[in-house]
Amino acid sequence: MPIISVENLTREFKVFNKEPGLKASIISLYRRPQRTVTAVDDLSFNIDKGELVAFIGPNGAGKTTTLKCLSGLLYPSSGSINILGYKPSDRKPDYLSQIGFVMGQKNQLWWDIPPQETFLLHKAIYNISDSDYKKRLNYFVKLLDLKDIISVQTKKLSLGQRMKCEFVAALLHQPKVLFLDEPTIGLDVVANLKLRHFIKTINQDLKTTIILTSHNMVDVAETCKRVLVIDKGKLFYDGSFSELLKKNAQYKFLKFHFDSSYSLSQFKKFGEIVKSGPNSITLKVPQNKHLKVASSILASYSVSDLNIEDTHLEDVIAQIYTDR
Amino acid sequence: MSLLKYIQIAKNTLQEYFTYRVNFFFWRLQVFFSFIIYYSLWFAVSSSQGGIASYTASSIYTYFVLGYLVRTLVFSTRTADIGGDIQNGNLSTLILKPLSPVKYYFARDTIDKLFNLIFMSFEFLLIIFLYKPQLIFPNPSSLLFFILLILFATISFFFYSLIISFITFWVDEAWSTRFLFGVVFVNLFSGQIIPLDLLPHWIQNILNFTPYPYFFFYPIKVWLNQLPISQYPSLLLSYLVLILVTYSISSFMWQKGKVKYQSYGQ
Repeated sequence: MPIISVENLTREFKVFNKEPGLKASIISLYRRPQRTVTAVDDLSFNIDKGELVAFIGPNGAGKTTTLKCLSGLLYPSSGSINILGYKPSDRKPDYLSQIGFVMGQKNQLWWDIPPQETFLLHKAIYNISDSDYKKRLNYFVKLLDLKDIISVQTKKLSLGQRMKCEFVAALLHQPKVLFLDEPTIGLDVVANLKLRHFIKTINQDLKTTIILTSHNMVDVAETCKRVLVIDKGKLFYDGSFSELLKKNAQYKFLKFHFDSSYSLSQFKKFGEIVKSGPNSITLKVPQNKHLKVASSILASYSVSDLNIEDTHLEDVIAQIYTDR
Repeated sequence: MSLLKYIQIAKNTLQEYFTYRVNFFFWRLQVFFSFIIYYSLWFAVSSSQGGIASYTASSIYTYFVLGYLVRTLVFSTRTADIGGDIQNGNLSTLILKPLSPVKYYFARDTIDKLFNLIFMSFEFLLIIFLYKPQLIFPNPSSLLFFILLILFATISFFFYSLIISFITFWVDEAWSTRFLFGVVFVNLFSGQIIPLDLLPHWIQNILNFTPYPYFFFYPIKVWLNQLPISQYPSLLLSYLVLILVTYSISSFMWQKGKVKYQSYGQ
């Protein structure tokens, strides 16, 4: 029995059209044509308990709108959503007590006071007992190394520190379902790594069902086995991330270092030359031919080193988005 | 248990005030000087003439000194935050929690009033010390009724403030609406600047069909023993109707608005 069940979800927005310029602005005072934008278009999927799923897609695809409908923040225009046996848009307290939402660009921490005060507020809101509160806070403080941070004013924290505290605020009540909307946006490599590890840990330790949106494909690759690819509001892939890459990663990159110099023109027959140096060359070769090309070059030239790389994740995904 | 979350909200709000001590100090200074200007003006006018119209000098002094207290109790509010929260999408963080956003703002309002009241009491003593006004005190029944009307005025102004704030669900930039209905009309028509019974009768009659006199003017009239007890029942009924109407409109707007809410931004 899936914990999340979405059927034919559609969400539309009315937007006003305005031509550029001052004249158009004056006209818009008494006449504003509007059009309907379908941000989410007939989406259907199920998610089981304990899954860690990513929504990916280009900007404006409808990922965040979908997440907002699932959480109950937005009312669907049509279709149905059932999460934990509740209709999210009813916003019943029992439902809201079992979900958490971290938005990468919005704070739930009170800005002017330390995060620990927000945690105390959440303790009261979610009826967390003193012993559970202490136990959970200690767990998160240790896991995320927050000991010296939670008593500092939120506005004085770095983005990475703030995001860690946002996670704690969203998880103190141990929600069954956690929505993460671009949780690692703007974070540096180290902070990103730590949060990624944290997301995987809470999914494993606490069995929290997690749905996240991200433009960082390394985040997605490292944390999620399953992805839903959304574009123009429609779902066009629901399955394993590695399968998605395998199907769409059509090229390999072969990086050769040679003992001596060779003219570039000799290598054009093997594949596309993407980079070259005094004694090195990088070839872009179709996936199904890379081994044959590698062995041909190894047999014919004096190779000191060879690296075979997959297409960069971002390039594969960008290609998927572009091909739609 | 349910009350604990709102108590914690009040505590956190108080901590915010302690963070911005200087800002709060200058806010109180601004309020104090506004009062000094009004009071000095009316003091000058009424002391030279021994009173104005139906007001003796003492009743005018009492009107404005007491008005300082009434203003703090009734009009200090955090509901001005709501429009901004709707517009920038910060309301989302409230909607997604098992708490009532309206009660959240009420908790913030309550602590705002209490905090302002504490400081106002020192300012009040300063005013008494500086001006030594001859004040009028109510008889026991008027005092009780005054307290009741202040409570009703506070509640109805809260709902009125919600109505103005919830307009932001439909009008993206509602600052001017809030300023007009929440500041200008309230200041002009509640009797804060001029006692309403000094205005022409036809204006008073029109204003009696608006909520404004009930926020400020009528409680003070009761304190001044200037309303006969026979009018108390009809006045009480007016307040109950006002509370019911403002509550109903604000509830209706909230129910419709939260469906329309688009949670702008990420």
